Amino acid sequence: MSAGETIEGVWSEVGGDVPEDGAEEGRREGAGGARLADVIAARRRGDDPNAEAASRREALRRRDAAEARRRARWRLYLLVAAFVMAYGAVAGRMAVIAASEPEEPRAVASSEMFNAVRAEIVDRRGALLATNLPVWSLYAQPDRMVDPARAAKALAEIFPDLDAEALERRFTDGRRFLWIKRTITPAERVAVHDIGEPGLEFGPRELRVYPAGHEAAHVLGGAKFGKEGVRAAEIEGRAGIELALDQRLRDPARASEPLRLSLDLRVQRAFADVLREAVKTFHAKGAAGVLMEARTGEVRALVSLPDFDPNDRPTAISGYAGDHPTFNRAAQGLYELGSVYKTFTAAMVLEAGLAGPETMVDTTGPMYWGRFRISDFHRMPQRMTLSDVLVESSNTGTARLALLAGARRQQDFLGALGLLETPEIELSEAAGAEPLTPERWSEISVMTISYGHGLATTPLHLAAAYATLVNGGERVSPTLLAGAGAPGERVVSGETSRELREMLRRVVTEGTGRNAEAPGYFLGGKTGTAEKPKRHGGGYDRDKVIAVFAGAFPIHEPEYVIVVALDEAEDRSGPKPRRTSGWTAAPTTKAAIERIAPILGLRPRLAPAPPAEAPQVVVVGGVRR
Amino acid sequence: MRSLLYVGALALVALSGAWAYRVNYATLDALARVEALQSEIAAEREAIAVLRAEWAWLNRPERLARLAAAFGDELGLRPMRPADFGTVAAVAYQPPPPHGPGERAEAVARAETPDPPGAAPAAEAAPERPDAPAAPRMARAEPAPKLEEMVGALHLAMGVPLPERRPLRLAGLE
Repeated sequence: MSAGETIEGVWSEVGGDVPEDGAEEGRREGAGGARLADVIAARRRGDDPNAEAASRREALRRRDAAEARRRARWRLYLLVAAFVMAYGAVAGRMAVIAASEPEEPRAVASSEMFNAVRAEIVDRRGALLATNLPVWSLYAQPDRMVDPARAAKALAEIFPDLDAEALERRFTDGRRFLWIKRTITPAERVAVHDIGEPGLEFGPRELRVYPAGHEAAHVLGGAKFGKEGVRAAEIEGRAGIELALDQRLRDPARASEPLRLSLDLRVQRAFADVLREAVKTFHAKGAAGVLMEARTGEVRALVSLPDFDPNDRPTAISGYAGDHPTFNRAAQGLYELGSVYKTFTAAMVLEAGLAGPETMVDTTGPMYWGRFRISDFHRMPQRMTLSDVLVESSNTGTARLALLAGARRQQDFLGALGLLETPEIELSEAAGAEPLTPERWSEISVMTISYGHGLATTPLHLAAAYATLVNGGERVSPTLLAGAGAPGERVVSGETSRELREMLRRVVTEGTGRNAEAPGYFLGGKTGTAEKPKRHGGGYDRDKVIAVFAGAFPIHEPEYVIVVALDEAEDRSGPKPRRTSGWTAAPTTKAAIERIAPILGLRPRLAPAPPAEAPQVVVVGGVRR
Repeated sequence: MRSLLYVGALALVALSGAWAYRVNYATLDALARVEALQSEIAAEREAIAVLRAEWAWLNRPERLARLAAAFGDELGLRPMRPADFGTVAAVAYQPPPPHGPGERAEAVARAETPDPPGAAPAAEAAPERPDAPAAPRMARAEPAPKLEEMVGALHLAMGVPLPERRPLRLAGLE
């Protein structure tokens, strides 16, 4: 210890009021600072004052070191934390990458603001009904053109429908963009390419095509371009199922999954063939046909003639809309369908327990109600059983039965069959096919509706109602999509359905529908001939009729319901033209069943038991006479 | 010791750097390949869609009907009818082979020649062979029912008129 230090210590002691301990005090004293009093006290005790001071200094130093270490440790911890976090992040990221599914980077993101995909449509067996084809559109950017006049002339040569002068005018009037053709074929594209004009460009397009052509045209409807961009264009449904299920078809998530319809293209074609033949034979204006599964309501074929090509859907409507090719007679056309409604009246009174099949009904005629007169088509006995009323198709008998049931019950019953609402089928046109009902459901309405006048529905309504009645009585709603659910609530009892089927079979075996009998298929059904109302009002037209046949086969356990409707058909083979359904719609139905049933895999069943050589053939009579 | 550590660490850094470089470029290559493959897949898909559409177009019912009408006589095509269903009972059991197994092909070829003169020598030749089984004679004694006859019977049973000319669908069973 030096003297200076001591003196310093002394001075500081003399200086007075310094606190006894604390880091500040020690520092001011200096490292080896010893207080004079301590030195004196140490000397008096006989200790070494320096040792005292040294120990105090040592304590001080230790304290400082501890302090420094504390700070350093904190810094160290911070650093360690930072490193742990950094390496942790790296390790975590690696773990995430290692655990993730390997996925490919997205190829090309579309820059368009809309989506151009559209799902395909196939029939129930997978035959393609609608698909997309890549084509090209042609557009021009006149400000980049080298020689507009030459380009216009060359284009007019490739596309005969373009006018060279008009095109040149449009190339030179200062616009910067111009569509020339919506869709061009690959060959045309090559030709345009060969012009060598930099201002002509191609944009990719998807074109909706219907490979089956005319087949199922009314179901498919057609499509058109919606929003158009240079790189793609949106396809929009225009009619039919394309419009009704537009959202489903455009849904990008389900674009790769084709929409499967309940239609069978082979059946559709065969049915259309038969109807086309019938239209020719009977000089009809048009025809409609529906083939429906009796239990599920799946439509196997929906035909409307005349038809059109959905690839080139006709647009111009001139004349009566109901005669236009795009008019769907089966699902859109509202017709008074005539005597086929007698089945509903019979079902109603059977179900209500008002009469049984053998109940005698008064069929004297004509009946008068105000200025209306109800009479029968041909002479009939004065009294007949309910069953015979249907078989002989008696208007007066049916009208009396309907009066027995009353308006309320009739309305409820027809409503339960779905005949008073638009059909729930997936067609845009069907939404407009709301049945035409009388304004006031008066007594005369009850009578006329009982035999199918005064209430206009579509043939599709008719098919669904017949399916409901013959399948055991459970409500069927028609659908065009494969995989329909089970039938809905019960409308008539199984017993009523059975009795009704027996009557319908009798209509074909011995009544007005004899010409519809297709041997081996046990058809049961009802004919209907309805005079058409005059287009400009003023009653009905005697010479223009809608001939309808509605039935089911095989009637003992119905699988299919068939409806055939011919517009203004007449059989001119005899001396007098015959217009009743039994001579037009019924033979057409027979031809249709004989064409269609083998395609559906239904084998004809032999009514009389064949001799012992073929014992394995099960004889199904099913229908009592 | 320490310098060895440094050298080792540096070598490790260099090595991992080289590895990372390689992996990076391999990844970029793979990405480029993926993109190429994807565009190729897209092109193939498009081609498939076009071919499917073309197939459907060539198989459209209207065209098939036209072709069937044009070649119907030649190939025996016509729309299916209810009478075209047969029963299992109507199919004849195949008659036993007329000759020993070794000569079967030859015998079948002979049997298929329709004219009787061709069949007669075969019938005469049969007894001369000591090893020929009794089968041929049985076969001749009880000729298998002709398919055409059975079809006719079926038609009659169903009350449907026999078609004028019935193309044979079950060729070979006769």
